[in-house]
Amino acid sequence: MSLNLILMVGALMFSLGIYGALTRRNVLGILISLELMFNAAMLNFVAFNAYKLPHEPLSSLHGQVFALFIILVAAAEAVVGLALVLAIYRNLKSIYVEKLNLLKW
Amino acid sequence: MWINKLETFFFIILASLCIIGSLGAVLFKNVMHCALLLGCTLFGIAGMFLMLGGDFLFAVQVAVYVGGILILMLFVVMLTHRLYDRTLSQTNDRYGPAGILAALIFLPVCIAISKAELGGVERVDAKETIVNLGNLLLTTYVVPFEVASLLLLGAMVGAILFTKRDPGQED
Repeated sequence: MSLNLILMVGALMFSLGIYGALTRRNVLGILISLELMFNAAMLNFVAFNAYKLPHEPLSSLHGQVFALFIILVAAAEAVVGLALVLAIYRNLKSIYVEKLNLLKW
Repeated sequence: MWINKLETFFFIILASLCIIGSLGAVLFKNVMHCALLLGCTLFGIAGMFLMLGGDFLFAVQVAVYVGGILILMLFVVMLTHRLYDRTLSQTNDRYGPAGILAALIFLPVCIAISKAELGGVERVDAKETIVNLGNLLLTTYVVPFEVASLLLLGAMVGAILFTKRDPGQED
């Protein structure tokens, strides 16, 4: 199993997330696609952390620390995003993005 | 060597779990099914972490992502889902540009990865990951660590403010 294959899985997940975020009408679907992109980035960080060139010194765990921070930011984003979705649903009775056009004229 | 074959076997299972889960999460119509398939992907990624020497990250991924974010998402799906949502289209009509953009991102990266000279790299097995992570978090990354605690506090206060109802408000 080589590093290329893991990076390929990460790239595929990231582009699927972009496709989903651009085509969904539902705010929750967009949030789900965002989580997919976060996970692809995290997978790349951890994969690069686990491999090294032979002449390099033994790598530390910097990539895993970055993955931890990504999990943290994703948690904060999900909490605020889902609270916003609930507030929008209470006011507009809809969570479809084309209904959220109050600032459009 | 049998251990390499075993690793390849588990990699194929985990990669197909990730890819099938993300395909379903993007393409399925029912948002509930999408969220459940996102959970499938999250478990696949957690398994990848375990395979790549991140045992603590595996635990954090399962506890925070699957146990926290995904459950929260399922709650919100159930709170905002209405029965006639199943008959509505869940996607807009811009498949073409979105697909082209996704392909424009995926294909160059794919070509670059397959052409990259990664033959020389080798696996290093991380030892004492929790000790090293703790040391890094409290020495090199101590400022981001503190900023992260502020970010979490802000997110918590913001979520409470957004979902709180005004006293006189009905519904």
